[in-house]
Amino acid sequence: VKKPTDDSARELLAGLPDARVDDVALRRLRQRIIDSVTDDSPKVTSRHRWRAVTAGVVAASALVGGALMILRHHQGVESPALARVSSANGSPIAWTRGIDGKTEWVDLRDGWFRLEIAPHAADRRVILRTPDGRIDDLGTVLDVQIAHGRTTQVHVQQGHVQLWLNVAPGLVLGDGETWASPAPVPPPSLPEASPPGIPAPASPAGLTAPSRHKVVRRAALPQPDASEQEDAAYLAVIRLLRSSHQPEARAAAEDYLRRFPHGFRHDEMHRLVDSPRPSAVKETRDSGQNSP
Amino acid sequence: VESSVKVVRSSTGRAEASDAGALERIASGDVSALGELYDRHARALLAFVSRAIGPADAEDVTHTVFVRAARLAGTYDGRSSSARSWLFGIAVKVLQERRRSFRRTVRALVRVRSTAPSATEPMFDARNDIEKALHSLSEAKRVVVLLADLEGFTCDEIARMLGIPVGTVWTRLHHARRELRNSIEGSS
Repeated sequence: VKKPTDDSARELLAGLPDARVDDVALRRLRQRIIDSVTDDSPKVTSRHRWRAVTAGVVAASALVGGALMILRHHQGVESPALARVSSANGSPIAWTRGIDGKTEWVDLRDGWFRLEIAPHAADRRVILRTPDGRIDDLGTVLDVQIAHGRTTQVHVQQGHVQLWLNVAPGLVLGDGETWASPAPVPPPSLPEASPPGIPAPASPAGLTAPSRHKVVRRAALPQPDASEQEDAAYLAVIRLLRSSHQPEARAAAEDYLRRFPHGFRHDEMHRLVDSPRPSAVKETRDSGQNSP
Repeated sequence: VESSVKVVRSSTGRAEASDAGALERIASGDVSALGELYDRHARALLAFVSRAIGPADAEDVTHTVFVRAARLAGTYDGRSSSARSWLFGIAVKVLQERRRSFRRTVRALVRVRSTAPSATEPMFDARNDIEKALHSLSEAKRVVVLLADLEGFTCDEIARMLGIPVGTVWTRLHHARRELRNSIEGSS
């Protein structure tokens, strides 16, 4: 295709009548265009500027606050407070802190915590509150594990703490000692350690159910998950039943029901707990024999 | 017409330097500069659009061209082309969009009501044989012949405005001129 060079079309188009453009229409169109563009362009006034600055400050504050909260909930932050809270195994933790006069309290909600409590004056107290009790610090470094709304393990690395948990009131733990909640698998030697009829040795802090608690000198170990714990608790009951340790089996079943109120073997455990107590029967029979 | 084309070119030549300044001011939010640009180019643009698609929609298209020019003012590069060519380029694109939109509407109407496309084409009241011949061309050819033979743009400039190869512009121009001649000769 060659570039067209003829001017005939140009000559033809010279005969076109004038385009119908009148001045009034042009002026009207001019105003329409100016109005459209003015409406579209944002008017920046001092009021708008102040609003933008205020919005910016609020947004920045919210961002900083949010970031601090996230840090505090997931990693632990160093604060001027006495207790330094962090995750013992890197997993997320949930907690809050408050200072009321000379008492600093730390609410531990969920997770595996490392708590380092700085040496402090005698009139200052640090109280660790757990969902099922509290731990009084006596100047220490400790790990606390909380799962499903209850304290499952406390390991003292350095110093001393006193536990005031529902299941372990007043128990004092020292260097290297670990308290674990009712063990998922009771040790096979349990009957030998606490044979039926022989009262278990009372703890210095007055533990009421020593057979269901254990203080061991060992490093903290990861806990099995809930389903494994439930299975283990069930198997422990079965094992005790098969070895004819009825009272211990019943206690283990009660423990199962307390720990897993909606557990898979709930009904079975309930039947065991509600079954007649051989010892009670025996006592009745004994008392009957002894009665005149 | 020859002389009028030359007058237009010389007047826009004087305006080119201030066009760049006006567009710069528009880009910085000075709406009054848009009025200056409008005063220089609106009449020519409105005439071109009116010849290309008829007077009915010419004002709306010209309105769209200047509003879009205000929005794109920051992208104007004064070194590559004059504001006149740039504005005509915007006008050509708006016409293309309008044509595509019109075709979509026609297709939708045909699907819905089986209406013949010719029945929905805009009516144009031709005032003489040349105008009638011009409007017998397709819009694409009409735009090319108007830009080249009435507005005095080069084929390179038209190719840039339309976003097509210059060879395509030559072809369209060649066919447009031939059809125009045949139409005039046939009618006479």
